[in-house]
Amino acid sequence: MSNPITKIHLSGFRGASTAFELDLDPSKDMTMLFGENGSGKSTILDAIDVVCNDTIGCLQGVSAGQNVGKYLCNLGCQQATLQVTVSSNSDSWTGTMRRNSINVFGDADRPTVKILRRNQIFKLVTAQPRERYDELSRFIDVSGVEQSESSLQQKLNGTNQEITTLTRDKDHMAGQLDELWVAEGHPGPGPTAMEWAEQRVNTGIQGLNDTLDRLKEAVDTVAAATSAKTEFETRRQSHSNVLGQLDQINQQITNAPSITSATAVQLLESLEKAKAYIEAEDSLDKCPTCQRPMERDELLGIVNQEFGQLSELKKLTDDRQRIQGGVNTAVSHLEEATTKLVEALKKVQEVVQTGNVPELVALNIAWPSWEQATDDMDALVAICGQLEPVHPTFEQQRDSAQRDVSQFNSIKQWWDGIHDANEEMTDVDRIRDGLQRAYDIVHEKRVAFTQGILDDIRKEADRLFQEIHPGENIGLEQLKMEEQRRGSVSQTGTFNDHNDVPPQAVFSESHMDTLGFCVWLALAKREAPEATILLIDDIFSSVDATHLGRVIDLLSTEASNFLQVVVATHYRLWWDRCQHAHGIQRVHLGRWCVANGIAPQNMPRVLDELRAKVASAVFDRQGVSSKAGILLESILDDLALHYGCSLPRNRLNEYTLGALLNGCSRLFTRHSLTVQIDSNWNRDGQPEDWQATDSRAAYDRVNAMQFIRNQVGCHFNLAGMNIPDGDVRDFGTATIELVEALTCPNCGSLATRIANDGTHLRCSCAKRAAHMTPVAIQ
Amino acid sequence: MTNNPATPDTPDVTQSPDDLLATEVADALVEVGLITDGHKAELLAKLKSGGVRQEDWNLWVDMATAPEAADEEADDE
Repeated sequence: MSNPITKIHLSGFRGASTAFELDLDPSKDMTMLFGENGSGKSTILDAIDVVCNDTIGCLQGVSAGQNVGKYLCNLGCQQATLQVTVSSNSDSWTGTMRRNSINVFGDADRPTVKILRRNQIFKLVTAQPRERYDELSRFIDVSGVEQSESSLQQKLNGTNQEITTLTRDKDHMAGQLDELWVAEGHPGPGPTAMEWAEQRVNTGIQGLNDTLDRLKEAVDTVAAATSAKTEFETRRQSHSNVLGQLDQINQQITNAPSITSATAVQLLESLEKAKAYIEAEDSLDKCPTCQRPMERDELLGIVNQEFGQLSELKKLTDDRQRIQGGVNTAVSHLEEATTKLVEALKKVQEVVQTGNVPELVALNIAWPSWEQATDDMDALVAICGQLEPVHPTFEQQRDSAQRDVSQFNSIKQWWDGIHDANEEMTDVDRIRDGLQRAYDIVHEKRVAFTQGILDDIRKEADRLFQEIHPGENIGLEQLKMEEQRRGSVSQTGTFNDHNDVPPQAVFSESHMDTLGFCVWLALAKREAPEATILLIDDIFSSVDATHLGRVIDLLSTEASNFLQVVVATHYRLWWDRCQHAHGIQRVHLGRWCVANGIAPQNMPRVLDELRAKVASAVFDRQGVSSKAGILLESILDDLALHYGCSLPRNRLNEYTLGALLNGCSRLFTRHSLTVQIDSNWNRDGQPEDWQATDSRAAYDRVNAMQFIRNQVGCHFNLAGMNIPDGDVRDFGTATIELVEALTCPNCGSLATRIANDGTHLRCSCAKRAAHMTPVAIQ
Repeated sequence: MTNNPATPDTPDVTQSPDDLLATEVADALVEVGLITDGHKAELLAKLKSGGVRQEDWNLWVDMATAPEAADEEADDE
């Protein structure tokens, strides 16, 4: 649990050219640091900010070269001498400077401190939507959920795409099926292709396959038989041809010289050798065998002649051998073809005997006895001749059956596909619906969540704003997440009956200042205000006196929500307005100079001063009269202003004490002005105990002695000298009694705000210890 | 709770906006039966961190809305 700050000690920090110490009164709702420009107010707030928030105070964002933090040290001091200590009742934290930055020491958690400087106001109200979001993001940053929502949306899109694909595929299959159904002439059993398909699928493919197999077998066996017949005939023709050739060559050999082929070969070899010898001998002139004289060329001619006759014989012999080989092959082939034809026809017979192919049975084929079937091959060829005409018919039937099977397969594939797609779509549809509902919930919750927070902030900021600008027809209308741009918050305002206008474009500077303050205050109230210390650094420079008075009232009211509020101001009006307030600690800072540094001055409240003077043994009759007069003028001026009492008109709106007393007299005499004080206002937990003050009697006494103010307090004259001290003391006492009878004992203010029920007026502090009636006079 | 009626209730600052919204979303999804109780803790953890993947959403919604899941719920009742 955080404790309020009770003491600040500065040495060598910013304007603290000499050691400076300030005690803060934690019993007060607010501490006001008042001083003219350059008196050290911001130095004090910076010290708290630097120590509690680890910042460089108002130097943040200042363009002053590198190591701007070094300027936290007073220009006339060494960094080593800088020390900032912030203390609460139980803990303290000390910052020292090393290498241009401040390090803070202290074991306990530092208090939560929020500071508002004038330059920050613009970030809240005049910045771009993205920067405004950054300021608000700690309340509305739901990027985790947003990311998860994004993945949900992607999944939803993917699932929708999946359904589109499934639907397209299903439609395609249904279209194909429908097309086939139409082509088939819209067959039954029902009026749709799907019913037809279902019936077809339920019928099954077995019958179609059986038909196809049967026809395939018929086609194959008949084809094999006709093919075997063709081959057989070819082989038989070849066999016949080769036998004819053999006869012819044998006849030629019979007619040739009687010499065996082997002999012819030996002779041919001898002749080849002789020819080679003669060709090699250029000068040969006799036969090398018989030695008979003979020319070389003549010898060569004889050898060549013999050689030709033997070669012819050899060729015939070789041809016969080759043809004989062909005869053997032809016989072999013919036997194979015969066997094949027989086997093929046997297969056909088997098919016929099964009775599966009625068309074959109908041919009434006269089957031979297979043991002697080869004896009459022409009969087999004739059977094949019977088969050949039906072969094309079988092929057509087989192709038709094949188409039926293919069609069935297609129908089944489409029907199954449509069926599967329907089932899958049921599942995917269910999931898609779930994802869509989930997305709607996540999206709506997120938008409502962030917008709800923005609405709360807007509402509270506008409520505060209206306290400052009542009846001015101006306000903060909406804070909204921009839909098109992520992480952006837009704002709109109302201005003189115009809605949806950008405040930054139409509001005055002072309106923007107060709006920024109200937004900041509304945000601060959302974050554990009871543990938060607010620092407000002289931000109302553009605000006029009337509005500043309302700001003061507002802040006095709101201060009680926070752990502690410290306000710095240079407005004397603020200082003066709070002079009677018990709940505010006022610190007056005198003129700053290097030699003295920050100089706090003891400035007691006027009422306390008057009390002290009345009670003093050394009686200051002039001081009592003067202070009493100032106090009366102050309180009666507020009273007259609130009720609109009649006062003599003057150019400067300055009224004498006598005029104010006369002007307010009707309030007491005719309108029975009554002030009630809760006698238990300072006793926590005690029930309210409202007691009416005797303000009328106090007023009458003061009215009767008002001359003392002038004669003793303002002028040097004999009449004044003749007034005894006792009368002057009575005047002072009566003044104190009147002020006490009219004001809140806590805040010292008149109760001038209309209570919620409209029955009375109340003061603006959190204690609300004073009520006043009437609410208004005619 | 503050003693000032004009002050809104203070939100729980120990929870981030993501924490608060994730809880709200998870409760709502479980309540309408789009997420089973068994998946709620995982959903909550992943929602906060932005770690819910497309497959997670598909699996969770599928399991919560499958006819068998509905039957089981009916049996439990």
